[in-house]
Amino acid sequence: MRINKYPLWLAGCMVSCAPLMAYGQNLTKLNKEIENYTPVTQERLESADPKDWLHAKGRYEGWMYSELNEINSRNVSRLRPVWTYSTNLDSGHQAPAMVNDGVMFVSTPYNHVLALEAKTGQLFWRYEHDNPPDLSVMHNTNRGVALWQDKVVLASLDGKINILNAKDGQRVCQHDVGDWRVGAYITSAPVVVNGQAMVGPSGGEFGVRGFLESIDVDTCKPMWKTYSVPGPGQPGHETWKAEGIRPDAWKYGGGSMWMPGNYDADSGVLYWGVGNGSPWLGDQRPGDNLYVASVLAMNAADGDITGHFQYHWNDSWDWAGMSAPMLVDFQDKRKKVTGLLTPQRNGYLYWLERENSGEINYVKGVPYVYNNAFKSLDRKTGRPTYHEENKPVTGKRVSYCPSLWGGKNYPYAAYNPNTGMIYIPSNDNLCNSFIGIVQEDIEPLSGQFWAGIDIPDLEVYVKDKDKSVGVMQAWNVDKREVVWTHEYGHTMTWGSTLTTAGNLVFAAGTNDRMLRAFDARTGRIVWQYPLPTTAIAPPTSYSVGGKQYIAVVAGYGVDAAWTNSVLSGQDDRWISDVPEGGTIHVFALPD
Amino acid sequence: MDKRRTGRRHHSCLRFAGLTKVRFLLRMMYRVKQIPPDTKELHDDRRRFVQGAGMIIAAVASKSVFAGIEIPDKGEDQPEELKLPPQVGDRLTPFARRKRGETILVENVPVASKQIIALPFDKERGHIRHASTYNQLLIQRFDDLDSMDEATAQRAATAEGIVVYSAICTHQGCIVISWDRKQQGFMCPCHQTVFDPRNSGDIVSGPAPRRLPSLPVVIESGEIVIAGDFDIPVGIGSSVR
Repeated sequence: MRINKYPLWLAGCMVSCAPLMAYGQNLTKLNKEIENYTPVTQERLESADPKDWLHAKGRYEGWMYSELNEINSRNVSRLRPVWTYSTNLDSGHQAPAMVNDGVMFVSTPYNHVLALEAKTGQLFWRYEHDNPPDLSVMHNTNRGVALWQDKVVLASLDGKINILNAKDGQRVCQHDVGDWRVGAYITSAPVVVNGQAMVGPSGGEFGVRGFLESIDVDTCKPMWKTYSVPGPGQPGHETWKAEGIRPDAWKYGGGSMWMPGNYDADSGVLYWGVGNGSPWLGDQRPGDNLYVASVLAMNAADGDITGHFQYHWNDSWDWAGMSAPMLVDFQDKRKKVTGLLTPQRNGYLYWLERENSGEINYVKGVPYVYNNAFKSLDRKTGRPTYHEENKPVTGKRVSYCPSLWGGKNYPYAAYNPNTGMIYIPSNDNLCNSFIGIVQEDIEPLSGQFWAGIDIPDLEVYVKDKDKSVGVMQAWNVDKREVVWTHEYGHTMTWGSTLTTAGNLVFAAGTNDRMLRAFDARTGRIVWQYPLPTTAIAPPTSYSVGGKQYIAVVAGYGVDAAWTNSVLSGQDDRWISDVPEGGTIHVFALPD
Repeated sequence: MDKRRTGRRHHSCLRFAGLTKVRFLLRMMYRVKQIPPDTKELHDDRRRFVQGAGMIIAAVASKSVFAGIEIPDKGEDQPEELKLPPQVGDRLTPFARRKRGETILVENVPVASKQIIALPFDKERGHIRHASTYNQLLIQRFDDLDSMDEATAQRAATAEGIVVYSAICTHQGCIVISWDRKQQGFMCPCHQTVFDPRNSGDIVSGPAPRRLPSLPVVIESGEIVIAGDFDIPVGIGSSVR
C-alpha cells in the first residue's frame, strides 16, 4: 500500500519548523502591554545612563562597561539569583539582555524577541519572527536588538530589518537588507544613530560581498548602503588584482560586516569591522583585498568611508576583522592619543589613532596569543610580513596558529576607565590546518558553503595539550603590558566580558558552565555561579529603583558547541557534557 | 496514470489533514521572496539573463567555470511547477548553475565518491524545481550493497546502487556538501554532522538531531528518476511525526 506522505511531511514540518515559523500575521504574543514606556532618544543613547543598557555593548564606545558599583569586589560573594526565564529555544544564544528604564529586551536564535520586566522577569510580549520554513543559514543566532524612541529594531536571519513597537511587540515595518538564499543572512545587532539603524549581513563563507546598510527606523526606508569591497573606480579597488582563476574576485570577495560597530558621537564617525575574505584562500583573490580584515571609519550620516586600517593584507586564515575597535584614549610616549583599541582575531592587540576627520593611524600592535603566521608588523604602518609556510594556499595542507576562530572571536572585550585595563577573553594554544581547494562544483552566491576548503580536511588541535586554551587577559592600556591572566584550563572561552565600576569583571563562555566575577585589578575569582548551560552572550548590568542587577543569557550552541565537541573528543580532560537551552539569568545582592 | 502530483492531489491531502493552516503552510514552504533593493545588480543580471537565452539553455551552454554566478536562485514570476517538491517522474539535474539542465545519468555518478548536489527536473517541460532550498538533493552511488542496512540496500538495488537524500542538514538547515572519505559519510560544513548514506542517512557524529530524509529513485534508460516521496520530513528539528 502506498502511504501518502504529504500530510505526514507537512505535519512534521509544522513541528520541526516551529522555531522558525509563526502562523498567520500575528507574530506577537502579548501578555501585558507596556505602560509609560520611556522613549530612547539620541541624547539618551549618547549619555548611556548606567541604569540602562541601551546598546549591545552598553555604550557607543563599545566598552562593555557599567558605571554601577553597588555590586563590587568586596560584596560580590553575596550575589544571588533573583529570577530566571527560559527562552524555550535551543542553540546558541549570543544576545545581551538590553534594558531601557526597567524593560528588558532579549533576542534569541530563530529571531524571537522577548520583552520582560527587568526587575521580576515577567513577560510583556514575545515576538516570533516569520523566517521562511526552508531557511538555510550557517549560524542561526542573533546578537541583540537596537532601541530607538518607542521602537525595537531586530535584524533577522532572513536578511530583513524589522521594526517592532516596543510597547506591544507588533511589527510596524520591514526592509530587505540581505538575501539569505545567496548566503547574506543577518546575526548582528543593529546600531542606531539619529534614527538610522545600521546593520550588515554575514556571508563570508558564501561569496557575499560585504556591506553596511542604513535604514530609517520610522519608515523602514533605506538611507544609504556602503560596500566593504570597493567597486571599479572606487579607492581600493586596485587592491583586487584582475589575475588568476577569478579576475572578478571582488564581486564575491567577502568582507562581511557581521558584528555591530562603534560610534564617536563627537565626530559623527562610525568604526565598523570588516570580515574575512571569500573564499578563505588569498591566492584565489590576489592583492591586498581592501577592506577585508579591516576597520572602516564611516560617516554615520551618509556612509562615506573616511578612513581605514587593514589588520592584515590578503587574508587567508579566516581571521575576520569583524570586531570593531573600542573608542579608548591612551598615552603614547607622553602624548595623549584619541584612540581605538582592539584585540583582533589574528591574535594581535592594536592601538590606533582616530582623527576627527575620520582617518585612522597605526600606533602599535602586539601579539596577545601565539601567532606563527606573522613575522612582524611594520613599525610605522602596522602592515605584517608573513611566514609563508603558515599562510594557507590552494592545493596544499597548511597549519597555523591561532586557529581560524582566532585569538578572540565575536565575544566582546571590555575596557574599564577606572583600572585603565582592557579585559580580553582569548583563546591561545589552539591551531588548525586545512587543504585549500578550488570548489569547482560549488558556485559563489549559491547559498552553499564556499570557503575554499573541504570541511572534512579541517583539523583543529591544541598545540600543547597540557596548557590552557581559554585565557582571560587583563592589559594595562597605557603601558601595553599584561597585568594579570586567568587560565581556564581545558576549554575555549566564548564569553564576552563585562567590567564595572565595582572593580569587577564578569565572564562566562567556558565548558564548565560557570559565570565568574574577577577582581578587576588582581584577577582573583571573587564569585562564580554554575549556569544550566554555558553562556556565550555578553553579561550586562542595569538598575531598577536604585538596585543593581547583573544579567546574562545562557544557551550553548553554534561554533562554541562544535569546537568543544571536537576538542573534548581529543582529550578526556575537556568537559564534553554541555547541554543547550536558553535561559535568562538575573543576579543581585540580597535586600 | 500520470505520475505527476496534481493540484487536486494537494487539495485532497489538505482535506485529509483537516488543518486549515496546512494550505497556508504549503504556500509558505515554497514562498518566494521579493528581491531586495540591495541586490539590484544581481537582480538586473538575472533578469537580463532570463529574458535572454533562457535559463536552462544558457546554463548548459555556459561552460566557463564561474559563468552564471550572478544569477541568484530566486523564483518570483516563475511557474508554480518550480516551487513544487520533488515529483514522481522527475529526473535530476546538477545544482551547479553551469551544468544545470543536464540530466544526471547513473554512469556519471562516481562510486563511493563525493556526492552530487542535484535538483528535481521535469525534463519534458524543462522545469527545474529550484525555488525552495528544500529541493536540494544528495546523490551517492555504491557497489557494496551488503554493507548497507536493509531499507537502503533495497532502495539501492532497484536503482543500480544509487541512493538519494535531502541535502538539508537536520541541524540548522545548511546544505550538506562535503564528503568525509574516512567515515564514508556526508558531512555538513556548518557544524560537521556526518550522515551515513549506507544506513538510511543515520547520524555518525555531530549535533544534528535526526537522520537525513531519503528519497526513492529508479533508473530509466540510465537516468535517475524520482519514484516517491521523502520517507521523513525535510528540514530542521528533532521531531518526526
